[in-house]
Amino acid sequence: MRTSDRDAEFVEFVTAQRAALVRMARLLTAGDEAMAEDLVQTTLTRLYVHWGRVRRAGNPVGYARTSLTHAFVDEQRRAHRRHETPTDLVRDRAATADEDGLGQTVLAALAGLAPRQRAVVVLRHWLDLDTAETARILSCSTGTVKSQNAKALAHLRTALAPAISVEELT
Amino acid sequence: MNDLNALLDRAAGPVAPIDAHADLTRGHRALSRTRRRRSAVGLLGVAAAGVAGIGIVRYAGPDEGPQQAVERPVPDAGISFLAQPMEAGPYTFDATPEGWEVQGATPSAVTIAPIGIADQNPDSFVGKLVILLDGNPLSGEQVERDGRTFWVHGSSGYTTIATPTLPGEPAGNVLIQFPNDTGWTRDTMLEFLAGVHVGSGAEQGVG
Repeated sequence: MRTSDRDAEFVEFVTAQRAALVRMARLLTAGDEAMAEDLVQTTLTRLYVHWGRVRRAGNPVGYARTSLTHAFVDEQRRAHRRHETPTDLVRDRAATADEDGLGQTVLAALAGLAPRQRAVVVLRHWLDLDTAETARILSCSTGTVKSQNAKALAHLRTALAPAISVEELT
Repeated sequence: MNDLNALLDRAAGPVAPIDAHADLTRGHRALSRTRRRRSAVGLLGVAAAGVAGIGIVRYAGPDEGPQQAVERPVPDAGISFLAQPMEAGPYTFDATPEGWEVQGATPSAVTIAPIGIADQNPDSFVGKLVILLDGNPLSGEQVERDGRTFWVHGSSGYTTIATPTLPGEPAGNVLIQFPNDTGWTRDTMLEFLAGVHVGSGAEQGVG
């Protein structure tokens, strides 16, 4: 495809979807703004390089979400090998309209989850993907998704109580 | 009661105005790097085709090249093996190279890469091992090991080793290509390849 066409389509996609990807990355990283931005940049760069294949597949949003999730999981593995504890890092929190601190409370609760559990929560309960699609993105079984989801929800209920009660979810 | 979706949406927060052109610039740079590497891989593919008669470069077609800078650990003490089998699609190996992992597997090809490599595209071969089931004539230096004959050829920083599949396995030759600068030697690769088993689901690549 011509470069001008690729560029025009890519810019259109970024304009429409970047904000959603940044927000997804913010949840995956439990509010680590710098890492979230890095992950989104990596994802979009990958998307541009493979734009021809992405557009032929007809689901650039799905490709971007999958790529972002993989970039996050890979980064967590690298951090683990470097013996870093990402959730202990001092985070550059976004200046948000979070006057009552509710958003930060939720991010803190997310930070207590293992990375793949956090990914399950984001995919299942923020993006509303079903178990099968979540399993496909995470390259695991649906049984693993269900068990990780159950553990994650149990943690979130505990971490958010008693200030916040969460509706029962399965 | 709070709906978890609403809580997460709140936590995701607002986003600053979008500047798509910064992403476009990064994309341009990455694509330029990809095309330069693709040329290098193409040269390698031509060299490999001269030996094995196959077109490895077919995996590096449009929009299927490496995505970003290749970062790979500098080998210090060569490759060591863990005494545990490794599965990669229809291919199984008797031992697992420590620090390497299966990145992608199809009936005709397997990509094995250093753990943590930046280039996570299984269709990109730079700095990685590639195992193929090939049907072309064998050529190169012959080496005997564990009762099997291997054909070895080196070119452009990469080495290819091929050997006929075992009785009961799909017909053809199992061929492995590996980069010379990642700790692998001919001996370690022969040891690794001697333990390969080709399952019934394997298919010969189209060269």
